[in-house]
Amino acid sequence: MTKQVALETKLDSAAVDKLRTILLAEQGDDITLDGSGVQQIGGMCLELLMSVRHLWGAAGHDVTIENPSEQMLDDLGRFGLTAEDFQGRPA
Amino acid sequence: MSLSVLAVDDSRTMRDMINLALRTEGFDVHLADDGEHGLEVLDDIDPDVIITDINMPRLDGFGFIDAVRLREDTRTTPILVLTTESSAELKTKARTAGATGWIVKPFAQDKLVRALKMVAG
Amino acid sequence: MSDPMQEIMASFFIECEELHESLVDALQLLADGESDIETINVAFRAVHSIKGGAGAFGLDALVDFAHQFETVMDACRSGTLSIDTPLNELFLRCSDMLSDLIRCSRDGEDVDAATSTGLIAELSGYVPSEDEGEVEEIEFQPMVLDLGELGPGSDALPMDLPPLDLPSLDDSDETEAPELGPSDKARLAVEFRAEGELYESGNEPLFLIKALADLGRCETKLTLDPPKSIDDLNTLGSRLSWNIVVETDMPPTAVHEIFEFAEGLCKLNVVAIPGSAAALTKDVSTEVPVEAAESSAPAPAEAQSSNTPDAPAAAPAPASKPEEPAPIPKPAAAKAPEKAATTPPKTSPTVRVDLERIERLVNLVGELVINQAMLSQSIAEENIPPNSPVSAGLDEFMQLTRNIQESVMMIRAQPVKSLFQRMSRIVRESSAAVDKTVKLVTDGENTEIDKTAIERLADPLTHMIRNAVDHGLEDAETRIAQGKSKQGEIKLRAAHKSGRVLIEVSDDGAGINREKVKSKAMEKGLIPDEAILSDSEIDQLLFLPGFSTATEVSNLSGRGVGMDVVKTQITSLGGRVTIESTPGAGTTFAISLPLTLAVLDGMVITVAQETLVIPLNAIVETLSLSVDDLKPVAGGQSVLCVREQFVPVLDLGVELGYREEAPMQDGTIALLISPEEGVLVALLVDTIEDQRQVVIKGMQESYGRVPGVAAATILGDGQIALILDPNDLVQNATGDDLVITQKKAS
Repeated sequence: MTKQVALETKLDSAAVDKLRTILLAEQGDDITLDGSGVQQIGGMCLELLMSVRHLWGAAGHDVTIENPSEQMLDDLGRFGLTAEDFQGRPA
Repeated sequence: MSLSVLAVDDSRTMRDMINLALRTEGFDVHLADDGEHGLEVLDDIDPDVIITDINMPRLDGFGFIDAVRLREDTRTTPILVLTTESSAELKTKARTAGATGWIVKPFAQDKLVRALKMVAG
Repeated sequence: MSDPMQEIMASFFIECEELHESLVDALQLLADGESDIETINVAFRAVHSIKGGAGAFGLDALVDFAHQFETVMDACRSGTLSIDTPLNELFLRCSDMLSDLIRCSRDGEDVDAATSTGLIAELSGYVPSEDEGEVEEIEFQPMVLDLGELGPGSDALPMDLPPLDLPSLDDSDETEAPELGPSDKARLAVEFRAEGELYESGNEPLFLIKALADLGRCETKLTLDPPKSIDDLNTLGSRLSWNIVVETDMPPTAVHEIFEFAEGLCKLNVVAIPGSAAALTKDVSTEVPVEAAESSAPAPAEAQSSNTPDAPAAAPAPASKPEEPAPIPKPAAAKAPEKAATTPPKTSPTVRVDLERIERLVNLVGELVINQAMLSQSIAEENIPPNSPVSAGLDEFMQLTRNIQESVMMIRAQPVKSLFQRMSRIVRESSAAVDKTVKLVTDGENTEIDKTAIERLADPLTHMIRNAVDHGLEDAETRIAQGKSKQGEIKLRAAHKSGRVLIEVSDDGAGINREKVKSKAMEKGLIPDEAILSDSEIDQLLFLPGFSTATEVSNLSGRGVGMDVVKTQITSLGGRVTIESTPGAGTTFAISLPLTLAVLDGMVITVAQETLVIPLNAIVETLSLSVDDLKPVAGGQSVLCVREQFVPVLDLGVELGYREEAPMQDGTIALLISPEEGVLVALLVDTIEDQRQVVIKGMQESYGRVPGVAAATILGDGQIALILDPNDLVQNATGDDLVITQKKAS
């Protein structure tokens, strides 16, 4: 079953604890993260999302981002990523 | 979206200068006279970045940073310390206290803006 | 609006005055032994803030002095230095110097460099001036674009890196940087790994990377150090590392500056890759060992693990995460904050206003008062019933006018504190000059008075204080012989008293030597040799032009300013000055001033068809007389009997030359005034017209001082009326001195 999670507007370092709690609650499920409301994503949350994606993927679950906002895409781009990096299952 | 800044300094001149420098750059500037006042302002706003002086009455910069870091909503808010000293010791002290960076007074407008960009985009 | 920096600078000097005020306060507490831990902090902060602001405006002399001053105070507050009397005295002198420096900086005047240098040297005796901080300051100045500032001590990477063999870079991994190609542009390869502390300090890689993009176009590659288990999610903060190639001519130091705040909280390696153009013109490779070239300038793709000795062992090879060709980041220009501030900034509870604007407002309110008076008069002439809406509206209008006027006057009012503080300096300097120890005690510092009055009181007060120190107080030996304490005391007191401000300067000295004063006055031909004078009359002699009691010209006197000048200055403010002296116990000079200088409550009277205004606060009582209330006394004068006291009578019409002396009519009005404590004089006038506020229009600029006349005003009907100064009038009355007459009578 795929769980839907809407990402917070500001995914700065202060937001990481909350996001981790949310994601851990969906352990063992596919997660679709709605990025349409994201205004900013910082290194800490990015690391969390990438780590979760890696761990879930190893367990056979997908963690993907849907509808990333323009702001989110811009931030990901600066980090060296694209929307495709959050599609499918990581190798 | 303009960045909001809380500047805490007991010197009116400094507040004026920060206000002028940042407003002309489009920042949304909030000012406070000392640490206590700064904490009161934080009850109302959640700034993107905080600038604080060290030597202030009532609650000094170090005490203010401690308090800011203890608040859930401002736990990781970038804080720049304004200082006339620039000794490595003071910077260590600022960092130990939980500051993100520092600005050496007197500052030029571009330096201030640059420092803000480095910590708050 | 003028240049905002100019405005801030102007406001800085105002703040300096306030800061200096709190500095003086704190130092005074220290001197009095009433300090607590916070006192020295307050003093330190004051000097520190002055220094901070002065630095912003490049006021170097002020900065240098404040720096040394603050350094010694810092030692005091940290406990490494204790404040004894000499040090506290030095602080006070430094505080005076600081005040001078502030004033000179403000007015662009030359600074007394010798004194400043001398004091700095004295301060250095306590805590040697350390230049270390200065040097470091230069080193740490975050001046991105001015690289010449970076000294050799900077921990940045060497700037003259050997040029790379560019083809080999491009050959090594074509997919790494497809967009860069065999560029002739110089590049910087940045390797950056966040560590836990970085985030905790509030730093954010996103912004650092954005700032990097300000240097030039970036090619960014991100690597995740994959977590092993869910537990690893609790130790976030160091699993991401970036390899960024920035297209820029800037040296690696530029990157180090961007990462200044992150230094020590991340792993950072920056390597310059010169462009082909640079490589052609700058061939230094032969002078650099190959080894060094390799280790410090790796190809970006390989930098991750192989070329950084301190990289954690766990760092994965980049190949472990097969990346598609790195996407091209969006245009590199960092997003500038939007130009419009949406919410108004919070302001402190004070607002600075140009004094000129207030003056304009005061004048306008003055006009309003006149206008309202005219309107009242017109309405009165229309015989409108008092309970009509027009009358009610007028009453409200009058009330409002009065409120507005009071509020406006309040804007101009300031506590006398700053004035008193200046006097404490005068006491210090003047007592040092005549070698007396004097303590200044102040009271009522928060009494407010018109700003102009404060400014214009400085001179007369200074003179009175000097006078008190020089002539009022005895020298130490005499004091001890008299059973007094060695230290003389001067008291400066301010208070509101019946609508006026009272400022007193008293000393606990010997009191006025009346014999000496009198003989001096005779010697100078100011009074006839056979004159018989009361004590208070002798005291008044001090105010005569050209009078000086000092038999020897001391360091302080001989400045050519006598008490007569003091009196003139006070009078020009609408004030009076009186003396009270008790032999052996001291002398008190009391200045009484109107609260505001622009408006007064007056009684409009007529005498011999002339309309005049008498300040209401001068009038003790008004009486309607019948002919037999007046008792003739010797010399053709009359006295009035008021509650068993004989009061001398002055016919205003005669006194002002409006009419010849004439027998009094029934219904004549007597205004009782009290020129000094316990003394009454009756002024005879024909009618009382009204009691109202009048706007004072100065006349002295046009006509000079006219005895008995304070100023003029414009009445409701547009008529100009003189405002009398009844006390001056009485003192300048023709014929016998009325006060003396009264004393004899009573």
